[in-house]
Amino acid sequence: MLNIEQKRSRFAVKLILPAILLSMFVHIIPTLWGIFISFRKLNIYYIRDWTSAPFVGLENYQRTMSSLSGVFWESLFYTMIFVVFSVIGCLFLGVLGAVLLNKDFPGRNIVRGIFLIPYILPGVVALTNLRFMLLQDWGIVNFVLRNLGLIQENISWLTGPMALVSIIIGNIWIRWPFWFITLLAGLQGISGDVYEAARVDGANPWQCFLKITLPALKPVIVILSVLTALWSFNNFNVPFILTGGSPSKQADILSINIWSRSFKNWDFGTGAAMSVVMMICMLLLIMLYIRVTRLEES
Amino acid sequence: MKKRHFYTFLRILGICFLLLIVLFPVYWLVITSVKFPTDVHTPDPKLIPERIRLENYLDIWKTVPLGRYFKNSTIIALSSMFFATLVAVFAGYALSKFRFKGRKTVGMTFLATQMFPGILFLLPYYLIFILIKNSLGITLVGTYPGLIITYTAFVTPFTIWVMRGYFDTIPTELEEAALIDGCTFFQAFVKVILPTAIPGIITIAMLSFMKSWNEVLFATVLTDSDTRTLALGIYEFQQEFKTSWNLVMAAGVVIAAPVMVFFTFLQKYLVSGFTSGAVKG
Repeated sequence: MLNIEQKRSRFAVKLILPAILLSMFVHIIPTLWGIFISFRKLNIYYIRDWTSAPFVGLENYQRTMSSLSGVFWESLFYTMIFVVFSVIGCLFLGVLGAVLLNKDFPGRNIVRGIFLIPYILPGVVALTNLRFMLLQDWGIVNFVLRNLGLIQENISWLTGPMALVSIIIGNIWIRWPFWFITLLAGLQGISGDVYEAARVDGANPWQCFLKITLPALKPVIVILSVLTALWSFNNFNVPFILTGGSPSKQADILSINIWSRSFKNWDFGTGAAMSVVMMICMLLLIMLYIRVTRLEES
Repeated sequence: MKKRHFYTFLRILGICFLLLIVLFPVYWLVITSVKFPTDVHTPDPKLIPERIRLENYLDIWKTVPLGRYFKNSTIIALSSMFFATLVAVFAGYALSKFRFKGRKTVGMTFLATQMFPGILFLLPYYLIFILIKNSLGITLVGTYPGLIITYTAFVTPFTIWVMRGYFDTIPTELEEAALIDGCTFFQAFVKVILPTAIPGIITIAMLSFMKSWNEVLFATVLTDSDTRTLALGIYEFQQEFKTSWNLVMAAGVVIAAPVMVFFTFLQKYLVSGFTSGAVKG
């Protein structure tokens, strides 16, 4: 006879098993295999019969670090800029939106719904539209800037150095509503009494924001930052769609750089080695982040 | 008093700023989709067009087989939405309400898979598909099941996380009461717990639908011309009609429409789903 605890635990395992199997099949086994490929010279000649791809040890990694080093480190550098500014932008817009909509006013639910549009709009559509708006000759952005007298010559937003700015803007535009709605939910959890008490003590709204709102939101902000950093680090859609699949050096962030190495140059081994390094970078990033936030707490 | 007016003014200004950021691109998308080509491909586009061309919405179905892509995306997105929701509801419940061996490890592993770069496991994943075809004779590349499995797995770590947070807020007493009344674990779960979790379920259903509706990278490799999805379709449009941005935008509106309709009806649930689920640290 099984006791109730064992029964419960068996039931739980049954419930969770499909998720585990799915994750094994799609995430875990292919990722381990990818790590395995990173030690092999897998290119166009061996792809038909990939088991015969010769073992090359760390050669792919050496290539990533040394002869490709310019490309790889540069790409990593731009990826970091992309990630950091995306998080900062989302934080700014998300907190702004949440604070503005915290107090009730007529039509608040409608405004909230509108703020969520970029998140709900399919990313491919949103990004294709942004690409269109940023076109050098026909884009509305250049048109507006020109008519405001801010620029003389049209800016090429999608090629050259400005492409990095564009992909950051695109990334922020599609992601900030997620911050907004989660932060708004967090704000609604703060009791109004706290603000009342602060006001009685003579605090102005800015002080209330710094001393009450931000500290209360901190745990949520930490989670959101980590998630956004991960999703941006891995992101393929934003640079791919905004630059039309051929990014300039500055917009050639890691995911797309690896994609072209693997599927355009057919050098899967090196692509896999770069991905592994990228994964390690992300891991370090997260560990650093957790360490820093823990330190601040204690 | 004056100070308060000042802050109200600032708030209105801020809200208008955010509304502009959101609404202008949306307006531009919609308005471009009904413009004449010559009014689009010009250095001086009109903010409000003098004439409109609704035929754009007829033209888009002709050159690129958008109808077929629409069907493909619908089948794939609805199926993976169904499976992802099912899997996540079960797993989220198990992680939230049961204490079993390895629970923490499993939870962490799910979150960690979010860190695996898609680009790293895309090729091995493709090779596994080929391997399965060669050894078992089941074709997965270029078929619906192949993509459905893929997208279901892509969203489950996140949806499990949301559902788990959601179930955490539901008191255990509810389930215990049902067990005392003679329900089995499964009955207690389906009859008592599930109905209270509906906002959370709608949230994750919506999220998983959007993921498959949107995905580009894996679709480029795992689909063929018969199973190509809408997300790739809009990209194809830019190649076919190098200059017809009005058609690209019309296709964009068509792709966005079902999701927007969904959302408008379900907004209430979506927001409360986030409020109680996703926020939890």
